[in-house]
Amino acid sequence: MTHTKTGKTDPVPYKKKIRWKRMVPFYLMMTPGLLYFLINNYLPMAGITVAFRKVNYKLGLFKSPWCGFDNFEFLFASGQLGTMIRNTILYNLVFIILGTTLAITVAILLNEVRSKIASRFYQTIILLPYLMSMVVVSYLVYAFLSGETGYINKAVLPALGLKPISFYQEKAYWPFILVFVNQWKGIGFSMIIYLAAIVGISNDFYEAARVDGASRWQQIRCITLPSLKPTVITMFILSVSKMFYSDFGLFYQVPKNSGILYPVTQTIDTYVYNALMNQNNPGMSAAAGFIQAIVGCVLVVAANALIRKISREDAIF
Amino acid sequence: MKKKIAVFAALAMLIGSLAGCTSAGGPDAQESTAQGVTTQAGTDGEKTTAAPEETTQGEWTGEVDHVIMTYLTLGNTPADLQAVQDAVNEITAKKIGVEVEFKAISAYDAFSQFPTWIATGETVDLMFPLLQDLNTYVSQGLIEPLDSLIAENAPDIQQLTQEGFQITTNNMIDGETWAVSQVPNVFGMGGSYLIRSEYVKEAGITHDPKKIYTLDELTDLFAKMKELHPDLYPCGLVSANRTTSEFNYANGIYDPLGAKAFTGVLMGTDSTQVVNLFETEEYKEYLQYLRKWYEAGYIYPDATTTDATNVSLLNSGVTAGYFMASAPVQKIYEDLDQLRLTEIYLGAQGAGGWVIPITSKEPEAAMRFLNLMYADSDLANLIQWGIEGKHYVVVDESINLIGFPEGVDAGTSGYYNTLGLYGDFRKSFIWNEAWTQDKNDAYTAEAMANPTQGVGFVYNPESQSTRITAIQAVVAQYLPSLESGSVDLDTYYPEFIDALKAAGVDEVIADKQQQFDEWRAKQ
Amino acid sequence: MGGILSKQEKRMQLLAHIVMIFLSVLALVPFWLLIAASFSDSNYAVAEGYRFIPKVFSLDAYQYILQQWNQIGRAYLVTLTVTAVGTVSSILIVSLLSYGLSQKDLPGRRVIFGLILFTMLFSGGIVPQYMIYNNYLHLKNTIWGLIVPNLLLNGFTVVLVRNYFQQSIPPELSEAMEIDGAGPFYIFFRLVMPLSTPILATVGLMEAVTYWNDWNNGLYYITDNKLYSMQQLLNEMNNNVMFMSNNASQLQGVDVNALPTATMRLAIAVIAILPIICMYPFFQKYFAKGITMGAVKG
Repeated sequence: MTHTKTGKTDPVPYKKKIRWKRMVPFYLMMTPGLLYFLINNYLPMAGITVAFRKVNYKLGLFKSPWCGFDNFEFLFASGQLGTMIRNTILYNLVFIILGTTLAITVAILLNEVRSKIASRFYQTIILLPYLMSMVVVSYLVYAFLSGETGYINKAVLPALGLKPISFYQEKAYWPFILVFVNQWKGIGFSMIIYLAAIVGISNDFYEAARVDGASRWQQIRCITLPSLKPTVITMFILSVSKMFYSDFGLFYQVPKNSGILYPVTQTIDTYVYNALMNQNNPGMSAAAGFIQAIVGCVLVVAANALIRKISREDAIF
Repeated sequence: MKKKIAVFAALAMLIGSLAGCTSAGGPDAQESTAQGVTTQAGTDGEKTTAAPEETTQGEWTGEVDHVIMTYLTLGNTPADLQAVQDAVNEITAKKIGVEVEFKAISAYDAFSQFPTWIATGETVDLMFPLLQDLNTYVSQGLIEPLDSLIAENAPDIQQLTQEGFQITTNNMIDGETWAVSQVPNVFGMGGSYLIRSEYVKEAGITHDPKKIYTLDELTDLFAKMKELHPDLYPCGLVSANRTTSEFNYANGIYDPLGAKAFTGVLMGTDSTQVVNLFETEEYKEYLQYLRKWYEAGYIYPDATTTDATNVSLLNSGVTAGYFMASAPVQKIYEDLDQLRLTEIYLGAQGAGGWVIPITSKEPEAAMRFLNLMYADSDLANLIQWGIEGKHYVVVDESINLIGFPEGVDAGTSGYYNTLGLYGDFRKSFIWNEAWTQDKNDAYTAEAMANPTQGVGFVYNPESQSTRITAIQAVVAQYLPSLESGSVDLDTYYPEFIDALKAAGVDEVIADKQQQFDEWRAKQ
Repeated sequence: MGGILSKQEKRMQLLAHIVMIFLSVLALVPFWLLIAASFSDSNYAVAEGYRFIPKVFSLDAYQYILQQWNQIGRAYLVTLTVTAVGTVSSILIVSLLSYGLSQKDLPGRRVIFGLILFTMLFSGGIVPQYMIYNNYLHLKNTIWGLIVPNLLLNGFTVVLVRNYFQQSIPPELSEAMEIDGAGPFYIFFRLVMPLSTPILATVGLMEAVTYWNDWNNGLYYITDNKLYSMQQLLNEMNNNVMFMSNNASQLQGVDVNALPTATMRLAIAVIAILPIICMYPFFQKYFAKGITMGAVKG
């Protein structure tokens, strides 16, 4: 309406008008997705306030009295907050670094396999562990590691003339076991994302490189890896947001919740589970979730800002 | 097949017999219902509307109310649940004007589902939060207080309370009743060691059901067993994910005063002093035995981590026994002895039972239905065991023993749910011939004669909830390892006590003591 | 020159095969153990653990599955339906949304994208969400209760697909089509979707696996046995057996022998995995095809 005031600025609003009209179909396309986020995520978001309330359902969830930071206290009352945070962060760091490296390596190697049948076979098999639930994985790990009936203690170690090991009583092994299980279970899947990106790289580049006499290794280093950079960065930023979270099944079910292992297996999520088990306290679980989300939020913004500084076009927002 | 049936027929020991109550349970119960309501109507002027609807014959002439009731399973909803529900309604519509609708859910899912249902306004009239913390339900305002509902609609529940069954008093928080517990076949507590009889005989011991065995005697027995069978573990003690101590099954009496034991207990039946169970000499002694047994190879070494249950370990011959309550046990193996380890007593054991959520539309009808479960044996049997002839047949009428009909077993039966949470167990059939109602009654009588000082008191831990969550996490970390004997006591046990103190256990115990003293002053 | 290259390539091939075979073995060995375990006698398994070749062979677990086939077969059907419908709708919604977001000149795209990222971090908890789906949208005990809540769309897939659209679809192509008079929807379905099969297959696979393995929606939105999915069934068995064994001393009336044994649960885990493995080659087709971008460009 205001643009009619002056004739001089006419071209700009005119152009804008056209653009808006052109954009209508795109907004239409986005509507179902945005509507979903509104219903599924944004409307329930009011529940975050529960972290600061003393819940009383007689009054209603959103009419319960405020209680300040009372719900957060149980995290600090344990005196184990330091251990939990250390474990959560260190494991996540290892998972991110090792996971990315391995996934890219496997994706590249798989892309090298020329035989289509073999390639499909490998992909399917490597994906198998990803399809098992953590409970089943914990049974299998136990079948290998248990002191009484475990395969390693019953068959492998005696054959090597070694003494049996009580794995579930020894802290020292678990950082390795957990990292192994995590990678073993996840690699078939995380690799696919990189594989999809590799497949998407235009063959022209490789052909040109081949004409120039570049070796296979040089092609990987100079074409494949740089093309993966955006994907790696995206995946990195997204996983940073989960820095304070942990895979509950991996840290609780796989070590069989063995108390002796807590110094190396307890994470924020397992602590919250143990503390709130049997007493369904929505305030306290919301409080724990709130802290995890805030930390994730800060880390994502920081990571994104960092990336923005290094290479602007790769920042995700 | 025959063996299978025998095993199954012998299950569910805690289910009581009618013991000649069929007649007493039926008409008598109705009479008392009618009387109760009339008396109540007389004393309470406002509630006279309830009485005239009911005729003296026990036929309901008023409107029939629809009650939605949770039906707990262990994962499998019985195929014939609808048929049983219809049969139940035939009885209850006529007698108390209630039509019930079962809402089936597994006991595990109930932990997350029940609060969600109530929080989001879903109508449920009767709910059984099995092994869930009643205090949470009260402090979050999820359920209705029951005192006036019981006074007006539940004469039989009142009657049972007067007889000394603490089905309501064990669920009192801040002076109000919040839940009604079921009456199990036996009432009371005590510890025992359940063990395969063959090993007891082999060791030259004649099992004396009256005798209280000591842990030293148990040690000798284990030693002999281990000597004869080097591969056998005399002691199962699966403790994976365990969060409650089994001390009270092994080495003595404690009363947790209607809350978790780690919030403080009364030791023995005479004490009025709330103490930290884990710091007591008795508990320490118990751990020392466990450690000794573990080191001698008596305890199953994977007890803290195994997926197998005590029962499956015992059945597969890996272990020979484990601690459990001395109350008559279901038959899980051919020949078992229950060596008593403690006296039988009555304490303010864990609270819990049927509750009425705030989302109930028919709380009065719900209470009438609840009451009838304690009074009517036909109803009790129907909900517990299903339809006669289809799901069970009477095997021995004299002791009210039932079993599967020809060609039916636990897997194929359309209604076989042994969770059993309904009303007065003593009014329904039994599946196990070994423990008839007179034996159960004797046990109950013995317990009633030996109460702790805490009977009738329930601790309200609301003000300590932050500390309690922290303590809970400490217990989850240390208890399974300690109570399987698998860790060194000199380092691990003091660490446990320190962690408990750091989490605030002393403050919680002081709070409990204060509430207990206040309650005692009022008695 | 060419000879050296092919030799090098051969070496690369060999290395690739060796690593892949190694990884395959790592994946197959436990899977083999899982299958072997489901065929072992449950008493023996308790006493001696699982073996790669069951010492005491038993079909009990599978007999149990047959016995419960009414329930399990139904659950299969539910899972298949949910996975198929959920995956297809998810791909459609996510790619439409991401295509909009990938338009560099779309007003408000940064804000919208930020808001979507925000959903990955903060959640309001189950109760408010349940209220919306149950009390207002009435999804409880309908098949939509398994499909819609939480799983249909998430920020992660939006980021992946948007990035792919931005980075791998040359804008010249759609500009050319636009000049020819094609509308955005036409361009989207005729150009963008076919060019994006690798990422759509990736996201499709992610969604399919998520739907296949989900039990959380079942837990909250399904109480009707007829709509139980495979994973809900399995999860409920596991949880209730655990619940029972943790509380055995307090639930003495329960017939523990009637509960499913560990081998039965493993057998169900086996039959729950098989179909999704069979589904995988379907997705793979699209990876292998890839996009012959050069050809399109030329």
